[in-house]
Amino acid sequence: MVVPSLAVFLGLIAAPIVVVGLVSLSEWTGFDIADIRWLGIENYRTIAGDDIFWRALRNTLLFTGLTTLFLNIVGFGVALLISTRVRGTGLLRGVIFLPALLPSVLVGLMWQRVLDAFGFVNQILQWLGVADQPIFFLGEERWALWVIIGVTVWQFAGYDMILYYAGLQGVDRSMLEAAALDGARTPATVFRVIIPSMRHIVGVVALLNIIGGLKIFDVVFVMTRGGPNRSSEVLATYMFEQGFRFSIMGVASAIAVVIVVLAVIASVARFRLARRLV
Amino acid sequence: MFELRATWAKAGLSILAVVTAVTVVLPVAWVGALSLKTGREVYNQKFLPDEWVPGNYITAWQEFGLGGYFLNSVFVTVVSVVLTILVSLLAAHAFTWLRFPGSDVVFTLLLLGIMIPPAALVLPLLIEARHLGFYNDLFGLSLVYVAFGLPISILIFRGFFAGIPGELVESARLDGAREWKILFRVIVPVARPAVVTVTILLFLANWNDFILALVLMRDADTYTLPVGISQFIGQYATPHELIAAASIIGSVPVFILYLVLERRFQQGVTAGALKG
Repeated sequence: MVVPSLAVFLGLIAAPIVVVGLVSLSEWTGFDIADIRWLGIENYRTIAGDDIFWRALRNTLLFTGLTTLFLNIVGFGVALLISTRVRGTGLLRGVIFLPALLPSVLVGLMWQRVLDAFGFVNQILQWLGVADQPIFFLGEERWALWVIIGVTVWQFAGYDMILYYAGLQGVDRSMLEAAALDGARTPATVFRVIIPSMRHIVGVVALLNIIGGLKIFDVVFVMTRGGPNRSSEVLATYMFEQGFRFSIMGVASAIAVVIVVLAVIASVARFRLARRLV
Repeated sequence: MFELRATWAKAGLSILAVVTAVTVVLPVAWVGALSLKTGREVYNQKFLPDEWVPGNYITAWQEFGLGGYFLNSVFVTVVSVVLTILVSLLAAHAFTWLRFPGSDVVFTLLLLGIMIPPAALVLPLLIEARHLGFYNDLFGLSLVYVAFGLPISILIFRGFFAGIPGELVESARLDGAREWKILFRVIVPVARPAVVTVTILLFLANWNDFILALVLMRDADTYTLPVGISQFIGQYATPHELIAAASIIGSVPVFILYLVLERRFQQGVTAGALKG
């Protein structure tokens, strides 16, 4: 009964991992398997000396770090807000989770329109008088990566909110009541009681965001293709370009191996932490 | 959770909640309004169209060939979700009730799949697909989705099965039932909540996938919805209002399912994240 699972797993996950490892040690255009040539660690030397690779790695880590930070702050804040159950929070709870369910490609496409020179954001900025010329958010180096970070936070804040909201339900009521009896103010209760008792959940949610951040591809590919001038290039888009546009399979595979290693490190940390949740 | 005494605090938080909700909705609403404008009005400063053109949706549907992409997306999603659930139910049953030598090792091995991002394996998968003949093939793409969906499904099913009393299985065995019959007649009816959770998680992952379908599908008649729609942005001539209409069309299925199954979605995603 385990055979079908094992067969699919070995064929479509384990074998590709081996293949990507082997190809990363060779020179190949990806067409005729007879043309493959053994190189050793040459491709890794190539990317280690490649400024664009370092830029993509830096952007990936910056994107991952900042989205994780903002997602946790917004997600936790909204979860707290919703748990007060004041008027309006029902509406918020209904809508904030929805973007997280949409295909990232379509989210990217929509925001491309919203942020373009004639888009909603520029309309508002001009109406407010903040900008008299439209800002090319996706066409300027200093904006592109920030835009991708902002869109991602907009899309997935509801995801973190749902997890934190579930976590808040597990906070010990008697501790909250004790804090209230002691006359603790709400911020004190949040920082001294709620956050400490949820620290494992915070860790797991942060690691989930990190894992998601490291493999960022869809939104960047749709909105900027890593540009302008590589300013929003990330590992997955750079790998895609090397492999599919330039057919440099060895280098692309070496980048893929870097992505796998980063993802595995984050996943192992997540599993170790998740075990403490139960 | 909190007792807020001050009325002004409640009012302030209410305003904050509504403002946040509006921030979430407004960009999508603006795109919705854009999708109903005429080509001339796209560049004006008004939120709502002067002249409403619902026909943009029909134009987008026909010009982009969205019907075909839609059917392809439905096909790969349904096939992959059904297959993943069947295959992982079998595996979870074996891991829970038929422990065999080395079953823990195999289980751990399968779980390692959770750690691997699909994006990192598109190159070798393309190579495999070309040589084994599942390149540009919707069923082949479905099988790849099965592979990436298996680990989380097996994990959730096994977690659920562990809470089912063993006597249920024992007594069915004493009645002489075969294992697969026990699974589908005895276990699955009890495990329906887990099946719903897994279905939602797999639906979201496979319906929304972009990079695997982008790499493994060559011809326009095998594109899924995200790939098909994304192909039109590169063409500068594509009118903005049609891109907007296509984005809205692509979002509608998820939107409707979420309206119908809101709590289930929230529970499913929570279970997938915290247990997986």
